Amino acid sequence: MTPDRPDAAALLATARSLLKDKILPAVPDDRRLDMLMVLSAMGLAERALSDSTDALPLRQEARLLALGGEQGGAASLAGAIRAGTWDDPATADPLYRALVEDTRDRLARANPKYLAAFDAGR
Amino acid sequence: MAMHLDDAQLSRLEDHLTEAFGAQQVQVTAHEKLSGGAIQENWALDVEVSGGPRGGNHALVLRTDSASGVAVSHSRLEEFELLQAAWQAGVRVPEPLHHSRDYSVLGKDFCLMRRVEGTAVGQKVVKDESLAGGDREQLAETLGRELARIHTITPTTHSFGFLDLPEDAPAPHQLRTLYGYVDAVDGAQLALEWGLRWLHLRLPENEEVVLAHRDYRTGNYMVDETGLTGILDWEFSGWSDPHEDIGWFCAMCWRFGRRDRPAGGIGSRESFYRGYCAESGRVIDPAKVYWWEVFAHLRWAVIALQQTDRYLSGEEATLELGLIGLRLPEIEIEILNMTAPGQALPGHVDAETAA
Repeated sequence: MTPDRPDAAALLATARSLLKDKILPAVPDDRRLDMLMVLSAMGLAERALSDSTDALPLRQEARLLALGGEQGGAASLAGAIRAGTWDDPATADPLYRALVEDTRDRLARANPKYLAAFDAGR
Repeated sequence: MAMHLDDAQLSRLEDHLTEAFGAQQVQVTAHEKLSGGAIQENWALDVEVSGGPRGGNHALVLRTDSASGVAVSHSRLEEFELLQAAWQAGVRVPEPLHHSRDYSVLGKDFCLMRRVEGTAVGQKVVKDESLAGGDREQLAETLGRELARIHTITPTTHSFGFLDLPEDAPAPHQLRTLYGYVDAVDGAQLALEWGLRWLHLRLPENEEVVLAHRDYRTGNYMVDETGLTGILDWEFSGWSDPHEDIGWFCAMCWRFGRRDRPAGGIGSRESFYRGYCAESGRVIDPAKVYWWEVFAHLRWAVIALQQTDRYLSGEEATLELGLIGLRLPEIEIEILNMTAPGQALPGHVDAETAA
């Protein structure tokens, strides 16, 4: 129940420098202005992302709190799973449901097509 | 190395091969760098050998290390020894012809093998129905047979100085290794911990030890219109239980989108198992395969985490590596799907039931 990395702003920055450094020089002159506009829009999106609150990590935090009560924290939950503290079906079931919910939430962001194929193929 | 070998390199290579092949003269008539391989560089070479036992024209591949290697993969010499063992065991691999540690030739180790025709690109192998004579079930069966031949190489028949035997048994050994990798990357991975715990509680018993390819999957074998032409990529091979390779081959993460074709996205599990059981006489334990399929996803997840670390550390901040981090929820959803509480494991298959 921790956000996937790299985050969208970092990936967008990497994509933008790939476009600017490797692709822009290979673009024909009559398309250069188009590419510069694309780069400018991407830069704007990147700054807007950095300046906004992402709701996904907040949902993740809420799931973690619901499982762990006050002594939450993903690292301590990971240690407890490894130690077998959650093996009992009474605790394993709600943990499993929370993990599925969290993974689907992240997958809907990272690759919605995959999630659709997964749901159709089961 | 650049896109071409320079004249000095070619001339040193020709001299070296003249001696190695006991020939009067060796001439490289064409060479081209092949695509793919982040760990190795592969060059297609056409050579003309005059005199000696190898006289004639040969289509070869020269394989050498690339700039960015992976620590856990084998050296070219080690890979050459594995390829030789496989060739002698009758596995369809590119015939290994020569290995050199003479750094004066190219500045690094290299080996030469015969070039096999076809394509290895996973997406293409899965989608292009004209490959392998259009008969995918036959291809799946052949791949089962080839895997069985690889598994005839055992610690009793062979020893490789660079391969350690598992301390106890393959599954607990591999699981410990995986835990070590998870601990080495930053951040808590809860779904992976769930999967690891599932594996820990269901460790298979009575394991065998054979030479496992450990990357036997669609994408790592060559196919042309006629069928399978060669099993490639031996750099992760090691001693393990035969079910590890069967699970890796069938795991959802190596089906290239064909969820309905468990045998590497190309065919049915039945065809693959039929070939394997007929050739090996072994009994396949589907519960063990299932364990190794869950393991396969965890192994792939760990590789994805390691690649993401290289991006985050700035060591190699490419878009390609950055996007690998976003594959993690895909892998995790499959792990969770296979490990739901109360889910039963499948039962046994032998040569008779698979036939």
